[in-house]
Amino acid sequence: MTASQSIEPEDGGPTERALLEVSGLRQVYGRGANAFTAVDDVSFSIERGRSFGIVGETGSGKSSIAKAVTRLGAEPSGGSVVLDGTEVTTLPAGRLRQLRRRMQMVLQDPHASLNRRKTAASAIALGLETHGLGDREERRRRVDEVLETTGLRPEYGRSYPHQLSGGQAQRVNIARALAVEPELMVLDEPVSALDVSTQAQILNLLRRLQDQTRIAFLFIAHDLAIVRYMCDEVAVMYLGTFVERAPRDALFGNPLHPYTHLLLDAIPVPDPVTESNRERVSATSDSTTVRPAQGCRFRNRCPVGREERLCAEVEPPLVEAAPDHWVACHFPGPPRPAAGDSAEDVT
Amino acid sequence: MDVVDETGTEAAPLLRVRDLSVRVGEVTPVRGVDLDLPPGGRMAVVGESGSGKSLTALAIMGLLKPPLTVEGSIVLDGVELLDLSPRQLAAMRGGSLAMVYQDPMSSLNPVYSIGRQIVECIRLHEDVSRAVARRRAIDLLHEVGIADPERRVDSYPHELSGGMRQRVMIAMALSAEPKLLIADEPTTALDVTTQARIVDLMRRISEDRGTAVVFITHDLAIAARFCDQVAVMYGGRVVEFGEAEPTYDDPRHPYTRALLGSMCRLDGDVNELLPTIPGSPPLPAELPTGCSFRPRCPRAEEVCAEVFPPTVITDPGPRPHGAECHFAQEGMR
Repeated sequence: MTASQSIEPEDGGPTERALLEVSGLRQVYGRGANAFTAVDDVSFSIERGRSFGIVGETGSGKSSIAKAVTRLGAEPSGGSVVLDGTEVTTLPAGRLRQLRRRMQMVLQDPHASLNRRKTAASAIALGLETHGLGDREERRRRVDEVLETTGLRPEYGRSYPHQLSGGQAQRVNIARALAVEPELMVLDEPVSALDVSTQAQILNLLRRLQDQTRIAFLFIAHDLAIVRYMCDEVAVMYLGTFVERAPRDALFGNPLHPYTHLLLDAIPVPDPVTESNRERVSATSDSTTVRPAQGCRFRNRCPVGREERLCAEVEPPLVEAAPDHWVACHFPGPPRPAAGDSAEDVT
Repeated sequence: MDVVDETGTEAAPLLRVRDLSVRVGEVTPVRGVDLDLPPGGRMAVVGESGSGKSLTALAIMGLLKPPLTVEGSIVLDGVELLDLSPRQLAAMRGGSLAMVYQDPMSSLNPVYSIGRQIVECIRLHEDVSRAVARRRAIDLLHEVGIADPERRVDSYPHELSGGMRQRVMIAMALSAEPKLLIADEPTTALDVTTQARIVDLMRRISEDRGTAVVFITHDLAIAARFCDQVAVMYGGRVVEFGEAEPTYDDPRHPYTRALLGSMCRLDGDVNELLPTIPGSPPLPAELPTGCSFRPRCPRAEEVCAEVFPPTVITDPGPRPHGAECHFAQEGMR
C-alpha cells in the first residue's frame, strides 16, 4: 500500500489526523421554489482503517453524501470535504482525477457498474491505465493479484459481466477499486442486490481487506444489522441530516433517537417465535420524503414528539448527549412502550 | 412430500401442487414441486436467485407462456388449474386467485387514478354501479392502511410512495375477495420500516379475511415475520418444508441451516466473521448431478453426487416437516 499511511498509535488515541473530514456538507438539487435539500449540514470524519456507516431509508440523502464526497454525480452545494489534508470540494478537475485514485466507489448494482463489453481483467486494468500506474506487465500482475485478493481465480479475468453471478461481479467491482490502492472506499449499498448466501461472503471479504490494508470505508446501507457488522461508528440519517451518531456499541446498546428505535424495531430476525410476539405495525405510517415546514423533521412519524409543542416549533440540534454519542432530539432516551396500532391512519 | 392431509383432521388443502415442473427447451428450472396450503394458511416460499420460486408462483397463476411449459398438477379449491382454458383461468385470476408483484409501478396504469383502477377491478367480476364500487374502493384503501382514503382514492400512482403503491396493489388484489393471494417479493424494493408494515398488513388481512397467502421471498427473516409454514427452494426443488417454528428451530436441510447461519443478525457477534456458504446458487442449466446443493454442502458425501436425495419426513406432524437430503434424519443443530 502507499507509504503515506502512518502507524496506528498504540494507545488508540486520536493522535492521527482523520483521513476524511466532512463538515457542514450541503447538497441542494434544483433552484428557487423547486430547490430540494438532500443533504443538510452533515459532519463526520473517518480515520484510516476504520469504517463509518450511514443508515437511512429511501430519500434520506445517504447516497447523496456518497456522491458529494467523491464529487461523482454531484457537486456539493456547501461545506467542506477534506481527504488527507486536501480540500476536495474546490479542487480543479485535473487534480480531482488524481485524487480519485485515493477514494474509490463501489455501488449497489454489480452488473450496472461494469461495461458489458469489457472483460473483468480489462475493467480492472483500465483504472490502472487511467491513473498511469505501472507498465503493461505490472498491470497484468496487479490484476491477477486483486482478483486473488477478492477471491476470484485468475481465469475470471477473461469473463464478461454476463458470465458472472451477482457476487462475482461485485468482487470484480471491489477488485477494480482496490487495484489503484485507494485509502478510502465509498460503498453504497454494496450487498443489497446480492443473494443472501453471497452477502456474507462479500461482507467478510471487505472486513478482511480492511484488516490487511487499513483502508477506510464509508459504508452506506439501509440494513442496520449489516452496518452494525461492518462499522466502527454509525450515523442514522433522516430526511437529509444525521439524527443520531455514535460508536457502534453505543448506538446499538443505547439508541437514543426515536427514529433509531423505529429502524431497530423494523429489522426482522429469522425466528418465527420472536416475530409472532412482535407488535404489529401494519397501519402506522410509511416512510416519507416530505419534511414538515417547521420543527423536528421526524415529528410526524414520532411516537414521542407527535403531540409535543416544542417538537412542532423548534428543530432539535445535534448535541453530544454522552461522550461521542450525538443525538438531535428534544426527548432522547431509551425506547418507550409504543402506543401500538392505535396510531391507525396517521400519516 | 406426500402428505397425510386426508388421514388427519386437517381440512382439505385449498391449494395442492403436485410434481409441478416448468420447462424451457432443455432446461427445467422447476423440477417437481409439491406444495399444500390449507384455507387461510400463510406460507413462505423462500429461495435465492435461480431457485425457481418466482416461476412456481407464475405457474400457479397460469401466467407462463410458451416457450415455457408447465407439467404436473395444481388444484385450487378442487379445480385442476392446468385443465382450464385461458378464458377460465383469467376468470379464476379475477376471482379466487390474485397476485401482488415486486414492482407495483409495472402493474398500475400511470394515467388513471388508483380509485378508477380499483373500481374497474371490482366491476370486472361484479355487477355493481360505479358509485357502489367507488365506496368499496375507499373501504379497501382504508383496510390496507391508506390514510384519508376519501381523498387518496383520486390520487395517481406517481403521487404515492412505494409502500403506498404496494398497499394499493394489495387493495386491488383483495377487490375480488380471493381465497388465495400470491405475493412475489412484495417488500423487496421497500425500506425496512415499510417492509415490516406491508408484511404485517398481509398477515392481518390473512387473519381477518381467512385469505390464504403464498409469500415468495429470498429473505428468511422477513418470512419469519409472516408465515406459519415454510418451503425452502433450491435448484428448482423444494428442499425443505414444514411448519415455521420447527423448520427455523431445527432445520433438516444443510442449505436451510447454512442460509440461516450466514444471515447478518442484530444479535450476532461482530468480532467473528460470518459463516458463509461457498460458491453461488446454481443456474438451472448447470445443475450438478445428484443433490444440487452438493458442491456447496459441508455435509456432502459420495452418495450425494451419485444418488438424488430422497424426501425424508423427519416429523410426520399433523403437518409434516421434511427435507430432501440423505442425512435429513441427523439432528445437526
